[in-house]
Amino acid sequence: MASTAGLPAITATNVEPPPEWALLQRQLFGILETAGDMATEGYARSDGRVYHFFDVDDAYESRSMRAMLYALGGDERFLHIAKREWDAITWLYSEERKLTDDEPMHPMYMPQLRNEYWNLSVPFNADWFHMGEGNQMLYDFGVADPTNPSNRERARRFAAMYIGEDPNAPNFDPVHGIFRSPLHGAAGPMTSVRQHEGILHRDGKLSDHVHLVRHWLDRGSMGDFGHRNVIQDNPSAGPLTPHFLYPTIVELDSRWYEEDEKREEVIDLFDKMALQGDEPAGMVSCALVTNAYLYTGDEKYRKWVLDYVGGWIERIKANDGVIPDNVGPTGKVGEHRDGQWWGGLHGWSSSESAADRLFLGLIVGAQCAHLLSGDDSYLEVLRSQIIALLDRGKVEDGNLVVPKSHGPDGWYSYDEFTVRGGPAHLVNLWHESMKQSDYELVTRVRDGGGTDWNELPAIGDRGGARTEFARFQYYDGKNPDWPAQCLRADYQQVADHIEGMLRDNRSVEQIIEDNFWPPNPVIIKGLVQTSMGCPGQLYNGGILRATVRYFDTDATRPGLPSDVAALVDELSADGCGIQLVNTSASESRNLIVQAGAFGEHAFTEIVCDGTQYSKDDPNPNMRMRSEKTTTSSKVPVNGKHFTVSLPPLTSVRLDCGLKRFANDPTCAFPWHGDKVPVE
Amino acid sequence: MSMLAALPNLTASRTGAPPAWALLERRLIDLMERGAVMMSTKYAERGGQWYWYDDLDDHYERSYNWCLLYNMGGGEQLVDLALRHWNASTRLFDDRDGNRANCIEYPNRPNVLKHSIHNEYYSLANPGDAEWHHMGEGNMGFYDLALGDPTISENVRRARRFAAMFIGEDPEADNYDPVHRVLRGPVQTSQGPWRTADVEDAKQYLLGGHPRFDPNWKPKTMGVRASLYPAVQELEDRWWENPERAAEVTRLFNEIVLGSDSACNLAATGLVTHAYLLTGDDKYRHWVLDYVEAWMDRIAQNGGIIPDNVGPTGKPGELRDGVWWGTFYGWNSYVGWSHIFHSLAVAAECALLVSGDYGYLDLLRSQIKVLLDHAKTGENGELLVPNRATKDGFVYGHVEPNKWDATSSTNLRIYELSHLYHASMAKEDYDLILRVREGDVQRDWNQVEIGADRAEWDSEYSRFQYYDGQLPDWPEKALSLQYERALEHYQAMVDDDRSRDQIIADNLQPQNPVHTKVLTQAIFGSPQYMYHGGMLRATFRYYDAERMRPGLPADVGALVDELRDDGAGLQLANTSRNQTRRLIVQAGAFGEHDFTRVRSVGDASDAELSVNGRLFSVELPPTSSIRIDASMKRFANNPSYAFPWHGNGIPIPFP
Repeated sequence: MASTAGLPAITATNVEPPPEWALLQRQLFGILETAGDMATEGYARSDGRVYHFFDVDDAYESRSMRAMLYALGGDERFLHIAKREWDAITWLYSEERKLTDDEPMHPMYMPQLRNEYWNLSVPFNADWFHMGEGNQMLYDFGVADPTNPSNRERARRFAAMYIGEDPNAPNFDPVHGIFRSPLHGAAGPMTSVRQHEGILHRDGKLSDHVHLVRHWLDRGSMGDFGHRNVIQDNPSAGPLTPHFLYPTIVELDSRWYEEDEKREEVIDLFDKMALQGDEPAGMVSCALVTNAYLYTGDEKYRKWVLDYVGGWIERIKANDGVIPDNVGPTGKVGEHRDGQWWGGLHGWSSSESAADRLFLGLIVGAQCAHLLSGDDSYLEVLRSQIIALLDRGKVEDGNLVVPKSHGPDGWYSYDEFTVRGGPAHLVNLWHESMKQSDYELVTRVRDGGGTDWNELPAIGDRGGARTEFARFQYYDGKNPDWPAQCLRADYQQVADHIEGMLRDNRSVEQIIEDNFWPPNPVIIKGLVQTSMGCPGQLYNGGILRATVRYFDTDATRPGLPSDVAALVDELSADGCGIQLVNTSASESRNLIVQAGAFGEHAFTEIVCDGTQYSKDDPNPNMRMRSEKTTTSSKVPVNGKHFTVSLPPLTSVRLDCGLKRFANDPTCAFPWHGDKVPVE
Repeated sequence: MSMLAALPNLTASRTGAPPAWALLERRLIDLMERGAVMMSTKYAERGGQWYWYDDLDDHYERSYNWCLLYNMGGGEQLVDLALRHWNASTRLFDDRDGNRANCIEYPNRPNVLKHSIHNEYYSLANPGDAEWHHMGEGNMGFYDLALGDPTISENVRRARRFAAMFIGEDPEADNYDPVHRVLRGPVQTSQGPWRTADVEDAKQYLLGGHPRFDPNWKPKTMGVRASLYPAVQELEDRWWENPERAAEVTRLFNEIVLGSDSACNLAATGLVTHAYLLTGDDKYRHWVLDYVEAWMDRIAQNGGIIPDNVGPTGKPGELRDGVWWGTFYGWNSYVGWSHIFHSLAVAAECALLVSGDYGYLDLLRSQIKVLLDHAKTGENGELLVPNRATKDGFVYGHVEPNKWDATSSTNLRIYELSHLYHASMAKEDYDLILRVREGDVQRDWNQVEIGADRAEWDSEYSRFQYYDGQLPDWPEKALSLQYERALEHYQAMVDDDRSRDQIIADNLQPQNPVHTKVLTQAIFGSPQYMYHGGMLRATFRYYDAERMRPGLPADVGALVDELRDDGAGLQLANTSRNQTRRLIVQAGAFGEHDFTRVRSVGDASDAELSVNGRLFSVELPPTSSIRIDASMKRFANNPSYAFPWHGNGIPIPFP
């Protein structure tokens, strides 16, 4: 049992029927465990290697969220399963691994990791969109098991690759404070497509570096083959969006690759303009570096994050408030584009543009810098771009639309702000600052749109940002049924995935041969949102932004104790409301509530409600029926933790005063002190 | 089991988060089972004897519905505990020589324990318990034992023995006159009818209160519990101080009040129906129908109003110069028509159940109409029905507020109406309820109210609204409120930190923590059974097809969401995330109905099956739910306590 000596203590005394959300939350824990077990038993070997062979980020994603499930309160086996599967997938895809003859591999298998991190073998996956997705599983280990030495060692080792400490991975240029390429990893930056050797695609074809450039130029995004899916080999009528090479080349001949000289010229140009330099997505790396900080508290990580994000804020200011999407090798905006601030690989003129890829870096950069500094001026990196787009918005058919792209003719591609990615940028900004002005940015978009924000899409964690509309409405007092609805929706998703697995009657051999696997059935966003009072983690590599999290003092582990349900029912700049319900009729449960995912906040004072029954009448019936007194008591905390004791069937509502960003963040558990203990 | 394999089967195909009502049902069942166990271990000896003493019926009431909870899906232990307590109370009160209870002095009680039981049934030792208000309450616990397990030889013998006391088969209990079809008094016991009231008894029943024990007793005017009218027009002050007058009044009480059959005795049909459901012996069915028909004849003889007393030859007001009111807890008493109506509802239900003949419902319907026909409209437009009958005719509302202990509601309560409509599912009875609803200016019928099980009808208003399409979220609201009630009772026990000795010294212990009112409504699709001696009413009853026991399988919730005269809608949800559950659905509490066809609605399968029998089975994979539309032929079969696997007769080891 964890020591809770000295912590302010609250005991629940309300005995009331459990609310629907509480029952559903515990049901959801249960079915997630069932689904997780089915995926483990049905689609992985007992050593943790998954049956499917494809791109490594997808392998991680198919098993991610399990450590977070444990950190939320799921069974401890999911921590061990997560670790086992991460280790096994990592070893499986490592180029250091020597394959033996008795280990036949699916043709789609190829090593994609070096030193346990991405190499450049699948170049279009060595970007922050994909690494961010894949790294989620890694980041969750800090939340779930920060004292595990291998987790800590990896956190440091991977961060080293991004802050310029690893000579084998010189991704970062400390002199100019930028990354050397949008594509990177343990093998260092990819500064030329010619570094790339051919890879096998799902349709049996091989792509080489020329294919990469063709696809990038044709599709205008990031060379997205949809991973190593089908190669579209039709001679293109002409590049749809040749902006990666603009303005050096204004109109590109559609058959540029057929003539040797022209081809080499275009490839050289592509290397220089698209691959040699930094882009805003680089800020997704802040999570990887913050991850190392949370384990170690080492100042260099904090400094790196603040410097790097600070650099982008400077560039925004210098560019009249719009973030430039490309920075050349010496740190100059548009260095290889005659100073043109747009046109970068995942930038304003790429096909996904502002709606998606570009904002990932802004959100993660803002979150991490804010967390590590407590200084909300770092949020400008995100806020400024939201405002930049809103200021360029207009009303079409009664709806507020904003430009998603910028090209030779200026801003274009007007659409609803939130149409693709959901409101992740908006709600994360507001969640960080809790400022009225940021709230108004959200409502400006909401009130200008045609969509019903109360509607909850049925969707997994991937794409889960779209569920943030309904969540925002709840905390805005406009969607009171959201907690139960959201848990119900996730339950439905999990049940559907289970159904899919149940109907999959293929043999193991057939599964391996097909190389098709079910989606990850462990969906945790509803549990995170309801119990921790925060937006779901940004799927492409965001860090946990919990307002509160819980630790089981009897089991000395993170997460809600068995049978206990938690709902954050109110959020404000200086507080939050929490409901805790012990649904067990027989067991007392005891927990610690922590302010912030990493103890970054501090509780000031808790006001908790309670019930007092008169014990004057010797007749228990009369006692029960006698006037119940509702009590309200204040408990001063002035710290990041307090304990709650929940006798059987009791519940409590806690009105918590909060001082946000008052503490140095750490993934240490309450009983660790202020730092993660090291052997 | 081969029998199961042959049953038409529906399989649920829709999966998703379980509905809130299903989660609440399972939690309620779990909590109340815990409550029963806690009650049993904390407030009773291991042998089942409660630490507390009160009248016999109150002992039985403490665990009366535990077998019903078992029939909803509670644990097997509930049956054993219910049996243990019933047997222990019966032994405790037994009047046989040497009964240890002779030695017990209970604190805080005016007297030592009364040996109110002879031959295992209510005796003359405590005649105040042996009229049908109290026997009806107390018998529920005995009836329900058969819902838990109908094969217990001892209980079947008891059922026959008790019924014998009422149908004229037991010479020691000469309660029934088969010639005139009368029970020989309002108080009947295993030792025959009560005829030996003393002056204190006469004071108590004529003037109210408890003069024998209460030092502060004050008389009220004649008629509180019974009347001698017209033999005595009014009783003079302090008549009992004159020995001659005291003897005369006592004699008149014994002759007139205790010498007449009472309409309240119609609840005896429950005890006899119980014997029928266990044995299938036609004599019980005949008795029930004979006795009900006798009273229907008396209604006709009395101009459409049920007389509350008939004399030794079965004539209304035979010992009262034709005055049809004045009996024990009859029309003229402080409860007015209330206790009579309990018994009318019990009897109408029993007669319909054993005969399948809807005509018997007129016993109850006719009297509801009497009240409505005599209704007045109050100042606020409210419908006011008479409360009592007096020499000045019907009286309404809160008459003589300082003289009467209690009053009936001024509007017609929904209790008996609800049972009537459930039994008939007829438009005319639905319309009667609408008439009452329209005249109800005080109550918002959509307001869900759930009192204790003894608050018999408060939950029926909102239930009616649900099936009338007016209150779609009734299941969650009602179950949640019921959970709140159950929690209060449970928590009162948890918080009770008295020592055992203190509990005994206080003679105070919690109420029965098992509340089956709302669960009956939601799961069985029926009103709670008539608290004063009615048989279980259920549109559907369930059996676990794997454990071969009554009740919903673990984790399964059931909600009857539609009721029609030719069928019903049923939702079943399996809240387990990893266990498939299989159950048998039975038409009617005792298989009295038939399914014709059942159809799964709103899922991919849309399966429709022909059943033409009283049973079908449902398979519920993990997290699945199903809605079933069942077409039914109601009251098509002979009713029986038999479980589905019992075949044609209940297998009783030692009949």
